[in-house]
Amino acid sequence: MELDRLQHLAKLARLALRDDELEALAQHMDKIVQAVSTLQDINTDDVEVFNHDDAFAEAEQGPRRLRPDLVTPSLSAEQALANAPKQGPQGFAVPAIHD
Amino acid sequence: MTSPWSSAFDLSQALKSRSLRSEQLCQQALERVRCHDSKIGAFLTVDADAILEQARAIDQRLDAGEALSPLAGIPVGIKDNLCVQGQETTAASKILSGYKPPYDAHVISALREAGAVLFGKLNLDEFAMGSSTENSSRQKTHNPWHLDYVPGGSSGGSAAAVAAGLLPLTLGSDTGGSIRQPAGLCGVTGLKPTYGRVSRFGLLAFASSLDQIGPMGRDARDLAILLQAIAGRDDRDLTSSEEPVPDYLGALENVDIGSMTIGLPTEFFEMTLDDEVRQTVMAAAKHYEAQGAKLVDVSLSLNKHAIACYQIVSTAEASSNLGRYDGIHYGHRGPGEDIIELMAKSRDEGFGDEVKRRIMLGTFVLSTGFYDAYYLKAQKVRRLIAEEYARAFEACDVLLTPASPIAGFKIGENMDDPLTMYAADTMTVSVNLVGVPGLVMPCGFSSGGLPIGLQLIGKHWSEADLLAWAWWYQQSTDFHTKHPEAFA
Repeated sequence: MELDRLQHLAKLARLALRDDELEALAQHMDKIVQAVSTLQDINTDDVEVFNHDDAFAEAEQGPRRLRPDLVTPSLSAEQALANAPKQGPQGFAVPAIHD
Repeated sequence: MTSPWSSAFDLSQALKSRSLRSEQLCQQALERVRCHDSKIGAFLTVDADAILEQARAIDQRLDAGEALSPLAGIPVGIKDNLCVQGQETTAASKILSGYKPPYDAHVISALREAGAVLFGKLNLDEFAMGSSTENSSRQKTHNPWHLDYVPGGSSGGSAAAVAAGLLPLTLGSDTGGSIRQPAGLCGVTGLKPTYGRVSRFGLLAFASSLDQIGPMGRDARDLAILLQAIAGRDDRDLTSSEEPVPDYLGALENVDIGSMTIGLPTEFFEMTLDDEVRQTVMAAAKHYEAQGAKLVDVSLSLNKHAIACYQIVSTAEASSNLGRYDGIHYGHRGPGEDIIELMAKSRDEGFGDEVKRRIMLGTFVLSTGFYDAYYLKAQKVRRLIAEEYARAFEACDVLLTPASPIAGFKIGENMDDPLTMYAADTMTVSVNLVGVPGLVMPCGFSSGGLPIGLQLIGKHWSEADLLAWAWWYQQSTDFHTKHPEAFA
């Protein structure tokens, strides 16, 4: 896998990997990608993607029920902020997002 | 003094009759942890005060004659990817060091309601990604049967704690085999329920279409007690099912081995596996046959693609799930002049190498230009695997396989070879892909003294049958009663 593709993936994944780390990762990724590419040999024409609903549909209760669309008590602001690495006056403090 | 090898069932009877007090039982467990866990490394945290406070509270209720569940007063260890309100929960990752959840996982609420004593947090591979518990950022866990060997993973702490007689019951989680493979390697009994049988609310997610929480303990009867408490619909996890929860303990005796048809998937026995594993597991199948069960060969020819399918699906889902660890809301925060740098540095510093590898692979298979060829393809192959399982179950009631291709491997042996490490899950991953339940229990030992496990794979919602078939086996054999001499 080329370095620029790995750099792009690292950017998408928000991982600050150095180029030497990416190069080490490249070897691993190449082996895994080669190993999983064996799936290409399997004919999946007209095959739908998997979902668990088919098994649920067999259950006595039928397909899964959604819950009522009702607001129920959630976390207080204090609870939600309790693990914050840095708090601001009204929430989580972060560096500027826009200039 | 109670034997550390007592079953949860027997302890429950003693607690109910008040010949045993929960405080006494938990003091004993704490003493054993103090004496032995420095050699094993099963526990990440043990809060003795909190444990004894719970035990004393339950003792008061039992003294007053309250009718409580069979779990009341029993200490249960918790894998550290399950949120316990106010207690550090880390998934064995630096990125969650110091994190104290503001809520209990569903299974934790259920255990509290049943009167169980939440006993410590147990080690795991970081974010449940691994098959040896060596990927924990905190410590190694050692197999109590042979301390140079791994306990398996990712629920290695949960398995080792039971194997060494530290606790009678623990909770683990299983995404590709993480309850069943360590149960096999540590000689304990473990169950991955049907997908949707147990709510995943409060489980630090790895792969949302594969993860399930399940019980681990000395025998199937003990697993029945724990599963009874945690199974059932929870509106906070809409993938949990309203399928009625049977009386698992009551169903243990409803077994007619003579009417049982056991499928032996040819491919699971023809692949590369230890001869001793093959022979020992086949002997277990013959044991069922001697009592009237019918053995039939079935084919799961697509199992050779299960690891590839699992690698793609699980890493894709993990790359999405682990996106929440951004250094902003909780957990480790790294340096950063801007928001992107802050997130990227936080994640790079906080995650271990295996987690980063899987996030990168998952990001790749979901990325533009590769999504169809990898992720979509894998989800279609997954349906084919599920259809093949359905055809196999037309010919049999249950599948019987080894839990692992080998009896065990040494700490450090596979750390430089991730592909070999992934192959440790060959027997188990397809069960998660399909969503059916799988149970592992000990059926013998290798010539080197390591436990060998057999796996029973059932149809959807057949946990009661699996537990009953396993309990029958355990009443007519004694492998599950053996324990490592070093911790006698």
